[in-house]
Amino acid sequence: MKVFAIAINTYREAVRNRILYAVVAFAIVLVLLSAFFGAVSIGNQADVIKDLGLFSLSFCGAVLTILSGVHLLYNELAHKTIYNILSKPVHRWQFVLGKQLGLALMVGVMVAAMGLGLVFFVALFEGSLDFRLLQSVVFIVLEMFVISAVTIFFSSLVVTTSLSGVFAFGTYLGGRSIAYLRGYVAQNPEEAEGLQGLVALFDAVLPDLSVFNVHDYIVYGGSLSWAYLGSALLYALTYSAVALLLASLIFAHRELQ
Amino acid sequence: MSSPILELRNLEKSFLSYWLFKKMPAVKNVSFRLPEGAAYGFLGHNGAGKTTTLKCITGILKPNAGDIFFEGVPLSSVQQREKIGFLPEYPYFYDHLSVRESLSFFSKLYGMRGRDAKNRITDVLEQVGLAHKTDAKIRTLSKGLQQRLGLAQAILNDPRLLILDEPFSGLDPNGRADVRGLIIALQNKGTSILMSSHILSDVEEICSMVGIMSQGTLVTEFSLADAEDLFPKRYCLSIGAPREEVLSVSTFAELLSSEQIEFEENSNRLGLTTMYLPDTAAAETALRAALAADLSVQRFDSIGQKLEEIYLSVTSRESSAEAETL
Repeated sequence: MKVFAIAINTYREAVRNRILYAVVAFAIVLVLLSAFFGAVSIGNQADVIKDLGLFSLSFCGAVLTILSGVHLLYNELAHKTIYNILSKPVHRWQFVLGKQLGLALMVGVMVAAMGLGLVFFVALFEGSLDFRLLQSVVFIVLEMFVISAVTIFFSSLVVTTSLSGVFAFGTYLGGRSIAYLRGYVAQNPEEAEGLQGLVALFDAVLPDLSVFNVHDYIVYGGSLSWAYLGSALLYALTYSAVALLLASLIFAHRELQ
Repeated sequence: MSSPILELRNLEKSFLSYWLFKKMPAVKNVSFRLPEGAAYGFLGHNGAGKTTTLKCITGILKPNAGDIFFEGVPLSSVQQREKIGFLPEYPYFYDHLSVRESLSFFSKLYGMRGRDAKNRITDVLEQVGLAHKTDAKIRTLSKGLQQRLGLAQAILNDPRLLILDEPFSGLDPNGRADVRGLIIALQNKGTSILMSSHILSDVEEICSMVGIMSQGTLVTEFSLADAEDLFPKRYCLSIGAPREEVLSVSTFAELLSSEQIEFEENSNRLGLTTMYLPDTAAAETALRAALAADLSVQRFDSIGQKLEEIYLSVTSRESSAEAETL
C-alpha cells in the first residue's frame, strides 16, 4: 500500500517532467526519419522502419529512464520532500521500491504508447497492423525496468545527478555490448588474451541487455516462445531485485542532512 | 511527574566534513525527558543542534550514540512513528498536487484507507483552517498556508507526540495566533508537544518546560513554573560604547571587578555592552560608577523571569564561556 502510494506519486511527478516530452519528441523524429532511411536503403522499407523504430524506442526509453531516474532521489533530497515521507512509518526500502515502480510505470506507459504508435506508423507502409512488434515492446519495457533499477542504485550511491547519469548510461552501453564482447573473446582467444579477465568481470556485474534485444527476430519473421519471455522476465526481476536491494542498503545508511 | 512519552539519553550526532576530513559534532550528549501530555520548548541559536536533535527523533537522521525512548521503549521500529507527527522547519511538498491530494498521499503512508482517511482529511483541513483551499494546487498557496498544510500532515495521524520544528516560521501575526491556538488545543486534548522556535513569547505561552541548546549541548532545562526561583530578578545596565569609548567600558568592567561586584557582560556588534547585575546594591553601585565615568547609559532596569531575558542570559553566558575556551 505505502509502496504503491509512493509509486503512483512518483509516476505523477515523472510525467510532468519536461525531459520526458523532449525525449518522446526525439523518438518520434527518429521513427519518422526511419521512413526516409527505409526508402533509400536496400531491402523492405517496412522492415527498416520496424528495425530503426524499435531501436529508437529502446534507446530513447533508456535515455528517458536515466534522465528521469537520476533526478528522482536527488529532487527528493534537494527539495526536502523526503522529510515528510521518512518521518512517517515508512521504511527506506519502501521508498526506494516505490520510486522504482513509479519510474518503471512511467517509462512502461511511454514506451508502450510509442510502440503502439510505431505499429500504426508501419501500417501506413505495409497496409496491415503488425502487432508482433508489441512483443518486442514488452522486451524493451523489461530492459527499461533493469535500467531504472540500475539508475536508482547509482542515485542512492552518488550525490550528483550527472555522475549517477554517467554511471547508469555506462552500464546501459556496457550491458548492450557485453554479448558482443563475450563473443569476440570466445572467437579470438589469442587476440583477446588480455581482455578475458575484464570481460569476465563485466559479464558478472553488468546486466546482459542482449537478453532483451529481440528486434531482429521480430522484424525478420522469427517468433519468440513463452519460455523465452519467462526467462527474460525472471532475469529482469532478479537483476533489478539485486540492484534495488543494494540501493536500499546504501540508502538506509545515507545521511539526509 | 507523569511518565515520559519521550526520553533522550546521551544523544550524539556528528557529520563528516569532507573538506576537513573530520567529524563535526552537531549534537553532544543531549538527554531530556518529555512527560506525557506536556509541551517542551526547544530553544537555541541557529546551528545550536535543535533541528538535528529533532531529525534524530523522527528517524530522518541516525544518531551516532545514545538512546531515544518513546513510550518507555527504544524508538527503533518504523511502526512507532504511527503515533508521532512531525512538521519540518521548511515543509516542502509536491507542488503539482492539490491540498487534498497531498494529504491523501500522506494518509496512505500512515496506512489509512477509504472513508476513514477521507473523513480524517476533512477534519484536519477544518482544524488548520484550510477547508476553503481543499482543491487548490500547493504551488498556488502562500508560505503561511503551506505552513498550515505542513501542520495538517503532521496531525493527520492524530499523533500522541507532535514534533514541530519552527512551526511559526513564515506566518503573519494572524497565522501565528491561529497556529498557536491549534497547538494549545492539541495539547489540551493530551497530545505531547516538542517544539523548537525562536519566537519566545509563543514558547512561553505554549510550553511548560524549556530546554536551551548551545553548541550542540543542552545547557539548561527548566519548568517555566520554576523559572522565578531558578532565575531570580536581576538588573540590566546597558552602556553604549562608540569606538573611542571601548577602552572606557573595559576600564569600567575592571572597576566593577575591583569593587567585587558580580556581573555578567555581553557585548553586541553595535558596540552596546550589557551588564547583568545580581541585586539592587550592585546595580546602584554600577550605575553610579558608569555615570561618574561619563559613559552613555542606554538602559537601566530590572529584568524579571521573562523567557527572553532568561534565554539571552543563558546564551550570553555560554558565548562568554566559549570565547574563554578559545
